This record gives sequence, C-alpha cells and structure tokens, in this order.
Amino acid sequence: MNSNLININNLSVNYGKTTVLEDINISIPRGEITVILGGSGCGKTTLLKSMLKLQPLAAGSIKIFNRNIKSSEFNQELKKIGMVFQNGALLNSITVRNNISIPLKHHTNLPDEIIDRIIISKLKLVNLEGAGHLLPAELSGGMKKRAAVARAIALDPVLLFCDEPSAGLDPITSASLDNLLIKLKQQLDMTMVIVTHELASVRRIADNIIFLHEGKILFQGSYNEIQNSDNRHIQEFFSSN
Amino acid sequence: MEISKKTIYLEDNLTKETVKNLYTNFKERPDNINIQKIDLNLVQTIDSAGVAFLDIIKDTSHYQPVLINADQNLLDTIDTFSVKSEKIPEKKRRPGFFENFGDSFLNSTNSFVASLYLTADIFYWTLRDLFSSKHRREGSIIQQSILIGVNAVGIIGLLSFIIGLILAFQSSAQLRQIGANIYIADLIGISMVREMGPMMTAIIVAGRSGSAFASEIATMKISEELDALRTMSINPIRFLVVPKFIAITICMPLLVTLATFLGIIAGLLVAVYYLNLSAVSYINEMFNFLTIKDEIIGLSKSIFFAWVIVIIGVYFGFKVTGGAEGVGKVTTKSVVVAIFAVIVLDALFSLFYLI
Ligand SMILES: Nc1ncnc2c1ncn2[C@@H]1O[C@H](COP(=O)(O)OP(=O)(O)OP(=O)(O)O)[C@@H](O)[C@H]1O
Ligand SMILES: [Mg+2]
Repeated sequence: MNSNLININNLSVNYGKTTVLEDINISIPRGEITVILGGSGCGKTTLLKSMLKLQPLAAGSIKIFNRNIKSSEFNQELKKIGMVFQNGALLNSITVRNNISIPLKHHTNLPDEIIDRIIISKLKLVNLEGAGHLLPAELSGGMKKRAAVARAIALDPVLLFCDEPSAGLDPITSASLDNLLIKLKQQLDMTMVIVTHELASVRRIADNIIFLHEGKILFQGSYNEIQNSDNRHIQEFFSSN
Repeated sequence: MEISKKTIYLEDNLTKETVKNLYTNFKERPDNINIQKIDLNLVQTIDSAGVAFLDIIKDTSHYQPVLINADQNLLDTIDTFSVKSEKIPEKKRRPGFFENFGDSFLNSTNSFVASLYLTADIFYWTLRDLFSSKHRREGSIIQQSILIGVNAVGIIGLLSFIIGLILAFQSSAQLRQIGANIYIADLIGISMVREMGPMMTAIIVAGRSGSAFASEIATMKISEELDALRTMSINPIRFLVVPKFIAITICMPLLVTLATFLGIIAGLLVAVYYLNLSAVSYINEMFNFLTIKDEIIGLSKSIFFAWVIVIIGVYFGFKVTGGAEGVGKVTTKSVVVAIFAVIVLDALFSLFYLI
C-alpha cells in the first residue's frame, strides 16, 4: 500500500496570465510533518489552496488519500482535512467557541455535552481556555491564529494544513504550538503540511522539507540534507536567518 | 460497553463514530454514579470525542474512577485531550426586559451626544479647509461630487419623473370632477418644489451615498487604515469626511433642482394630454402661484438633509466594532437612521414654516 498520503504530479497553477506554480512534483508521506519553505510570494499559500480544491489547476493532478481531488468522492474526504489559513479566517460574526463547534455540529452527531467538552479541550491545547466566549475581533493577532488552529483540529483530522501557524507568536507560545503539532502527530498519527518561516520551528518539527522558489521546487529532503545543499537560494535563506 | 462490579469495561474504538451510542447507553444506566474503575484493556483507538466521554464518566461518578489496563499511547492521548471539570464554564444569565430597555435608552442618548461632537468637528475642519487649500487632497471634492451627484442623476431623474406622473394622475381625477383642471399646476408645483423634490432626493442619496460613506469608513476602521492615517498625523475627518461634506453640500441642491424640474415636466404632460390644458397656461399658472420663498425653502431643506445624511453615515462608520460583520451592520443602520432622520426633519420644517 502506498505510504504517501498526497501525490502531486506536474502541477501548474496560474493567476490570469502569470504562472505561480510550475511543474510541481511532490509526495507527502503519511504520519509525518512536511514543512514548506520559501521566500514571500513564492507560492506556498497557493500550493496549500490548490490541494484543498480552492484553486483551479492549470495542469497536472493532485491525489490525496489515493483519490484525485477533482473526483466527486473526494468531497467526502474533505472532512478528514483541517486547514489553518494564513489570516486565521475565523467567522467574525460568531464567538470562538462557536467557530470551533461548526465542524463538530455539522459532521458528527455527538451529544452537546461531548461537543462542549471537545471544544474546551481544543481551546486548552492552544492555551485559549478563557477566550471561548469572545468574538474574533476581540482577539489579538496571535490569539486568532491559535483559535484557527483549534478550529482546524476540532475533528481530529487525518491531514492538517497550516499556513504560517506561528507567525506573530512569541517564541514560547510558538514552541508550545510546535509541541502540540508533534503530540498530534505521535498520538493521533496525524499527517501535517506546514508553511513556516521560523527556522527554530523547522528544526523542531520537520521530518521533511520542501523548498519552493519562484513557483518551482528547489529541494525536497530532510533538515540535515537541506543544510548541506549547495544551492545559492537555499544557502541564502538559511544564512540570513 | 459493560458495567459490572463498579467497573466499566470499554472496547474497540472510542471515536466520534461510536461515542454517541456509548454515551446514550451510559446515561441510561442507574449505576453510572458508582463507577470506580474504567477498564481500557480492549480499547484500540481513542480520539478527542472518546476522551470527552471518559471525562464524563469520571465526572458522573461519585467516586474518582481510575483508568486501568491502558497502554501508554492511549494514556498520552487521554492526557492531551482531557479537561478538568471545574474548567467548564457556566452558562451566562440573559439580561431582562428593563435592563435591555435602559441599555438602549442610554445608548441612544450617548450616540446623540457623540454625533453632535462629530458635527462640530466636521464644521470646524470644513471651515479651516475653505481658507487653506494646503491640506486638501487634489481632486477629492470633484471625485466625491461625481460619486454622489453625477452618478445619481439617472435614478433620481427617473424616479422623480414617475412621482410627478403619479401625483398628477391621482389629483387630476379629483380636480376634473370639480372642474378645477388648471389647479394641477399649483398642486404639482408646490408639492414638487417644497416636499417631494427635496425628500425623494434625500431618500435616494441616503440609500446610495449615505450607505457608501458608512461602509467605506467602517472598512477603513476595521482594517486599521484610520489608525494608520492618525499615526501619520493626518486627521481622518479632514482627510476623508470634509471632501464628502463639501461635495454633498454642492450636489444636493442641484439634484433637487433636477428632481423638481422633471416632476413638473411630468405634471405638464398629464395636464396637456389628459386634462387638455395648454402648456402655456400650465406654466403661467405655476409661475403666478409659486414664489421665490417656496424655492428657498425647498433648497435650504435639501442642504440640511445632505448634512444629516453625511453626519449619520460617517458617525456609524466611525462607530463600527467587530470585523466584516460589523461593517454590514453599521451600513444597514446608517441607511435606516438617515431616512428616518430626513423624514422627521422634514416634519419639523413643515411645523416651522407654518408659524
Ligand atoms: N488572488 C490572487 N490574484 C493574483 N495573484 C495572486 C493572488 N494570490 C496570490 N497571487 C500571486 O501569487 C504569488 C504567490 O502567492 P502566495 O500567496 O502563494 O505566496 P506565499 O508564498 O504564500 O507568500 P507569503 O509567504 O508572503 O504568504 C504571488 O506573486 C502573488 O502576487
Ligand atoms: Mg502565504
């Protein structure tokens, strides 16, 4: 059986006439944390969005759980995927607690008592226990990010995408978020694809690293391997940090 | 699931799919308050719903049940998701009728006072801008005039023409019966110049531009653009509101004039084709009847309406809280309040001119 959860073949994505991703080939292994690195504007967010069917593909194909994402069966699988958007993307009109309850109420038939407890447990994991009753507009930038993480893991997804989860967090909170990701990987066998710029965080969590540059893949491998890469862009990225 | 000898035996998967039934069974058991041990020997997997269920078992029992026969990975997961019962918040009390009533009374008083301050601010900065052009953004007044005035010409012209037609048809039926056909000119003239022209224009401008003011400023506020302006030491009222204020003060009387004119033309058509009057007699009658005072009343009213519309739109824009949701709310509110205020103001004017 295939040990890769995601297979991307010859993927290209355009915005109008500009090509943002070009001829991407990636396989992402099950039960591991894959980190996507690359400069601002190189197409990381676009790559995540295209895996979630949020972006039309110009060419190539993406398979997740061995299903082509364009097939209609894939829509059922979306429930097993969580996504933390770069700007949080919380629903602004409802409280943090209700944001987290949405996937639970729509995709399970659990009794309210259990749902309430799951919500508190998820808020506890991101250190937001006291913030459940607040509206997103009443949270700080970093708190919004963490609330978004709590919503993304509400259903214990099999696959979790995070777009810069630790941007805007202090080093301590950022480290505890990394610990949470590692725990989820070990205990629930969750597969994760994470975009981040924090090298400290990369060192802690990454099993695999994918390096994007101007819409192309420059490197795919482990943390030690990428340190020894002789590519100019990669060396620049690591030495300037 | 099985309960015997104060031990609950769980098996297979404790996950979102299975927990609902287990929970229902568990709640129906009368002996669920006596559990002392939770046996997890046969449990394969657990997720956060499963852990929540275990927590419920623990909190239901009068003893403090312990987990037995669980392997380490299971215990780790339980440790990750488990929550102490005292962490679960109580539901909040809802405020009663009188509390709500008092609240909204205080709120509306405060809003009124705050909008007076805003009005003073706007007049102050407008006056200063009239005498120094240094801080004026180039072309901003013209741009606002196009948005508020030029772009509204079509809809305001069309609607007031239709209103003119309706008024003329409705009244001509009555006038005909008493043979007073010629008074259609007086009726249309006075109602278009003094009431319908200014009022219809104000309502349309409130819907088009008042809402745009509110949503523009509200959007800028929630995306911190207003804060950015302030840190650059630029007064948002001067930068954003004054051009709108000047533009609407110029445009509104012009729009009202257009509306009045088209309403009167509509009346003329009805007079000529339905009441068989001649165009000359219609116009003569109107000019004899209307005085310059009527025109002044109509136009001065329209300027007050314009100011009310800007102040209310801008006030709600600045007042926004929350995210994109808030923008929608204040926009709706600003239109409702502006139209209400225009009509109340119109009623006050009518009283005022009676005396
Ligand atoms: N909606 C859009 N329309 C047009 N172009 C877009 C759009 N979104 C992104 N782009 C372009 O696509 C490119 C990649 O954007 P993307 O958001 O994927 O970058 P990123 O790697 O996530 O950057 P960052 O680290 O700053 O978040 C950029 O050059 C951007 O200008
Ligand atoms: Mg991005």
